[in-house]
Amino acid sequence: MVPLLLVFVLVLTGCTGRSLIAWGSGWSATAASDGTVYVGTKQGEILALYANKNGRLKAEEQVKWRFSPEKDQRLGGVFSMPAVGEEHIYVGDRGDADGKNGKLYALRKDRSPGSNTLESGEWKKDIEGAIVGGAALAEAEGLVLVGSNDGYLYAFDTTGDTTSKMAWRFPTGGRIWATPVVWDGVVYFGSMDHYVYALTLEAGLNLSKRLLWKYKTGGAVVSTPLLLDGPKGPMVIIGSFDKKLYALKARTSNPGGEMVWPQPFEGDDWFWAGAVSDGKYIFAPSMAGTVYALDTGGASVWAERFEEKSPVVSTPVIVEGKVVVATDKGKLHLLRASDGEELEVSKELDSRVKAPLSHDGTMVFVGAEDKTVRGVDVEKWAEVWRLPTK
Amino acid sequence: MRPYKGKAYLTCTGVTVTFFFDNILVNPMLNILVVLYSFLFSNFGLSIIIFTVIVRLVTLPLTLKQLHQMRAMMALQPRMKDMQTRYAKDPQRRSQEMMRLYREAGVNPLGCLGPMVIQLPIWIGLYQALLKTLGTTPDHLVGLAQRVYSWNPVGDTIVPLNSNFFGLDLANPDPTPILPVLVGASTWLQQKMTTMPAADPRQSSTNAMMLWMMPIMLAFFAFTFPSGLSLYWVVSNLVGVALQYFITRDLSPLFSKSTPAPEPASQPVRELEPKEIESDGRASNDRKVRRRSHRAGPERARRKAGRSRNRNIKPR
Repeated sequence: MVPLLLVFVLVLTGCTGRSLIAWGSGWSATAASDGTVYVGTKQGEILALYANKNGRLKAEEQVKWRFSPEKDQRLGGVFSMPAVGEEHIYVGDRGDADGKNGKLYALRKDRSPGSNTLESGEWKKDIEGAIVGGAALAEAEGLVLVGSNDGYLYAFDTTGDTTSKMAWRFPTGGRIWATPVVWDGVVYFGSMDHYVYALTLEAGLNLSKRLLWKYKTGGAVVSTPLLLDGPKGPMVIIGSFDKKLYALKARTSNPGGEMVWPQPFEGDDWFWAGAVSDGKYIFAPSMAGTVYALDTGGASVWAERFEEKSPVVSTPVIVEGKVVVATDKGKLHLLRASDGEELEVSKELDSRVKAPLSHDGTMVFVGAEDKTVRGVDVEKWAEVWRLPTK
Repeated sequence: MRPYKGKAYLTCTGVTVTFFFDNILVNPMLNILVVLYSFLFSNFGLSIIIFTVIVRLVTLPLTLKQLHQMRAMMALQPRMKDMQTRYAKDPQRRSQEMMRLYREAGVNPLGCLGPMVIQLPIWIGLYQALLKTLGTTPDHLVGLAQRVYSWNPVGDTIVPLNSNFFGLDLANPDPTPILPVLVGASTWLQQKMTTMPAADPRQSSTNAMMLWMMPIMLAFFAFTFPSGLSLYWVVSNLVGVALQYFITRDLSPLFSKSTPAPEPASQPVRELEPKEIESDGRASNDRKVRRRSHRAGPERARRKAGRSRNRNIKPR
């Protein structure tokens, strides 16, 4: 009996102890800008890497700077894509192992390579919940906006020096894991309360006046909205867990929001990854591993289901008329945007990928779950470099 | 498109176990929990309670078998005690006689264990399902997407589930000691009701240790487990206690101390015949047995040496 009990306890603790409720260590999302790749790592570091397009740089030469704060300043793992501004980058972490006490860091893009403390012009803000989605910048309003697991969308003033103050925060009925998008003085984001929100960024408004509209979908909304010009003006394309892709009017006086398409596009599974567009078509991957291409009127152009039947959590990128998609099982696909034809043999990454992809020119950057960042040249369809972030 | 050359699912034992747990246990349980959640006012605590009751009802035949085995074992206790004293100096003979007693009564001493072993995977699967259903972390929610059946009518609209239950976050450990104490107390109660009075002093001390060790251990784990699991434990224990009460209340040390134990349902142990009773009141075969047991040690040694062929004849 005793050995049996011990086995039972070992199995239970091995399988279901805190490890299962712990918040994981992040997805190592990348953001690329002006020849630099920014990445928040699973180890709680923020790195700036040279894009290293020709692969000539050695690993140690490729790191531009590394921010690795210690002790109580230490970051939790990073799920979100860094937001890149004129002078700063903004990165949020998941906080403690139980997803509380997230932190939003503002770091200078030209910071000293060896500095692990906040320098002049840099700041950190504590947030009650974990930060899963990325931040969005509203340069004109001097705000950075980020959603949190505690259900609030936070707006921080970026015009301060070392201490940024919270300008306002907006409550929703669910966790916010989606990255917000700012367009023309309005922030658009989804929440797990099934709503898509549009808030004005004007200063000094109360909550009811800040809310322009909120549209109810049939499921949780965690994907990043896509803003683009549609047949009836600017529209917000966003997917939901109800397996539908919605096109909503960006500007409407209807507080309940307004659909652009006669009806939402229905996919084969949840939409987690954000949709992307080349201006002509909208590309939206589903959790069943299907990439849909729609025209701006919501009609299906083509659909490609990958044979590995793996979910797509990572938001794809479009590079020179080609759609680059990474599946959760770790395959990188290259599809022709016009007809969905797979242009190359899918690339085995030997690691799961959930973080959104980023690109600079023809280089696509992949934050993989094996604690590496990869640079893949789409033209050559070859992995140019692989950098361990440990 | 080119054919996918992925890894086969069933390539090694570990993968087979994962396949079994995921497809036979965890995923069906998870989907039932999701459906229950939609019917029970989007209350995950209620879903856990109802689901636990369902699981206990489904495994009721196993539980009943276990309880009946226990009941039969308890009925044998007086005879076991008698054997304990009768063969105190001959452990081998004692165990032989006990096995004979079990055989004659149609009781398997490990019979209580069998149903428990079968229930273990169910428990572990349930634990996994409880944790994975909530999808409170990004990785879990990604996993949940692959586990919710596409034909589950409510899977898409209610995920992620609300883990709040009377102010308690079922995805995280209870910050107060209330649930851990309830886990410990309910486990102790069930343990107390199922623990049989053992004839063997060593068994008795093991039972006493288990009576306290398991509740303390589970209460300790309840401090770190998500409280949804603790809730499951408490409800499961209470259902177990109720079953135990209605089936074995006349035997349980908690509810009955003086009620005589009933005879085992199957073949009774053979009683001694009158001719076997000698004038001094002792059983005649009792003496034979004792005589045999006295010589058992040296005689066995001699037999091993190959000098004796008839066990009933004393060596010269």
